[in-house]
Amino acid sequence: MDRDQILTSLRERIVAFATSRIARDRADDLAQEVLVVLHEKYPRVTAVTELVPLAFQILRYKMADAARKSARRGEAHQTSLEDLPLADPGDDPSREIERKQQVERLVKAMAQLGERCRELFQWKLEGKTFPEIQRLMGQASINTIYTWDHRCRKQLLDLMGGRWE
Amino acid sequence: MAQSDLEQLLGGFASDTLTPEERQQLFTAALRDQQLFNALADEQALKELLADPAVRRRLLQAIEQSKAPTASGSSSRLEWLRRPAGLAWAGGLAAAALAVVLGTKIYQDSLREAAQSLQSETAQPAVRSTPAPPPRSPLPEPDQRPQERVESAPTAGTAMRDAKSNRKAAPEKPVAPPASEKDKAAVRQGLPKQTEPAGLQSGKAVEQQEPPVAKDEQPHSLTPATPIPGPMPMPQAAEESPALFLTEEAGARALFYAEAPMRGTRRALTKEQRRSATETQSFADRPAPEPKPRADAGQAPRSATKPVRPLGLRYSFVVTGSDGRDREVDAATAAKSGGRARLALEANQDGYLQVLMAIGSDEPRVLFPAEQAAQPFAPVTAHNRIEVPLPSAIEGVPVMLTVRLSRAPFGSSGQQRRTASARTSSDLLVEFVSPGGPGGPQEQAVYAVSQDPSPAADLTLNIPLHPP
Repeated sequence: MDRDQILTSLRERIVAFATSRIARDRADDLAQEVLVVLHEKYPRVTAVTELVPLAFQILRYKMADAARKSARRGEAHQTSLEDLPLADPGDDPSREIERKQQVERLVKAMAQLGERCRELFQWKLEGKTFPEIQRLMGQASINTIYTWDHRCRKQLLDLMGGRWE
Repeated sequence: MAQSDLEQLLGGFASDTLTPEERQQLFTAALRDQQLFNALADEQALKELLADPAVRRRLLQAIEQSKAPTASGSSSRLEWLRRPAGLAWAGGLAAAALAVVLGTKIYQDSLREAAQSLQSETAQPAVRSTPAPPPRSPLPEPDQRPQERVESAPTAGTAMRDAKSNRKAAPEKPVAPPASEKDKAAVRQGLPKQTEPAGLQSGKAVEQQEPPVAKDEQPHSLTPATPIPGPMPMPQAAEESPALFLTEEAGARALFYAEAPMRGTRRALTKEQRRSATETQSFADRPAPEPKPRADAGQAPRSATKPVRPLGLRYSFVVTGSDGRDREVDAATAAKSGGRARLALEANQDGYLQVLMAIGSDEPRVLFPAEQAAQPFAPVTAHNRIEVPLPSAIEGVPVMLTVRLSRAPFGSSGQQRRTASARTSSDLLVEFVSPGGPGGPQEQAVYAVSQDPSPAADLTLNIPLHPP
């Protein structure tokens, strides 16, 4: 699969994904913006193992940026222009707070996991791959590790309220 | 890899721990599968979070912290209780602990009972009549001393410890072999063991030891002890603990019998000696022995490290009852007994004895030994009881008896008469023993032990006899 094929598939998937989250017209714009970034800033990235995660990363930034712009414009609730605060040219404090709260929730949820899930996440956080974790946890089949990981992630997601953000 | 298996790789995407093959498979599948793509897009938030090394460290810390209390925490500790095997172990351990506690309590109770029975056993010989100990030579042979020390009885203070240790160690202490050939011969003749109380002996042996009671005694005569409640054989003294000798915790009675030669030593005498022991002898008839001091009397102790036994004296008032049996009474009863009372004296070691009596405000006179004796004192042997009849003239008047006991001969008679009015030694440990209950001591006596550890120590005791 070459770069153009990958980008075509990515456009379809991004539009479908964004449509489930935002309005359709905005979803097309969002997918177009992601592809423009990939085309202009990462023209040499051709491997699917690099392009897809890169697309996910750009998509996330674009979606978060769109949500902030929408809130700033008052699309959800109209407010007077005089009441709007002045834009801060530095880092977005609200984003920093969100990130901090996200980490706190993750830490709290992680502490509530069972011993096996904590051990599994520990190995993952230490950078161990699934085959390595299989050996470390003394399991004969790697599918056991996949199953454990799937259940543990689901449990962690539930503890965080159903979403990572 | 099946589509469902590919979804399993989502966890590796967020933590960025997928192998190149897994990444290839996952992302290729995500381009074809919208659901997998959506899932990966949702995982991107977590992926970004975990991409921060600081967040990773924090999460690892959180896992470690939650692991540590869990490993040693109460939930982990109590988790094993939920399993049947854990419950069985807990029950077994609880039962074992209960058994240990109960066993310890039962063992302590048995020890207490053993101590009580030991006390009653030791008091039992005092109830029965004790045959008169044969008079011994005033100066015992030096080679008999170590043997007597070996066969000495333990003190009351060590009785409990001995009872405990005997339960753990040997049930019976080995009896030391007789030192002299005479003793060995006596053992071969089948004489009773020295550890048996004299009153428990039966048959001819007891009858032979029963001395005839001297009814018509001459004043100032020394008679062998008549069957009166004798001292109980005390437990063995702790020779290795000299500090016990002069501690008041042991009591004067215990100190009196500390390292006392057991009666078995005398039982090991030959028949001839036994027969001669039962004969009534008047001290006045015997020639007064030359007041030569003992080899060790008045001198330094044999060994500088060897403790000196405390000098002790036991006295009691003995009255012959209407049934012909002697009994010990108190001083008031003795004072009004009309001349039937006798002062029984017993030293715990060889020495020299003197008894003075002052009636009213008169000058004291020597009551013992006899006035016609060459010296105003007489040698006595350890645990050989002598009886000094009290004159009938004491009834109704205050009388002061002064008993002096010393390891060395006294000085001149004049000096002794002058010291008759001396007060009781200030370093005396005195214990009054009254007849107790059925298991207690059946004697009415006073034990006085000098707390002066020096070999030249003497003992002076004033015994007032007030009119009733």
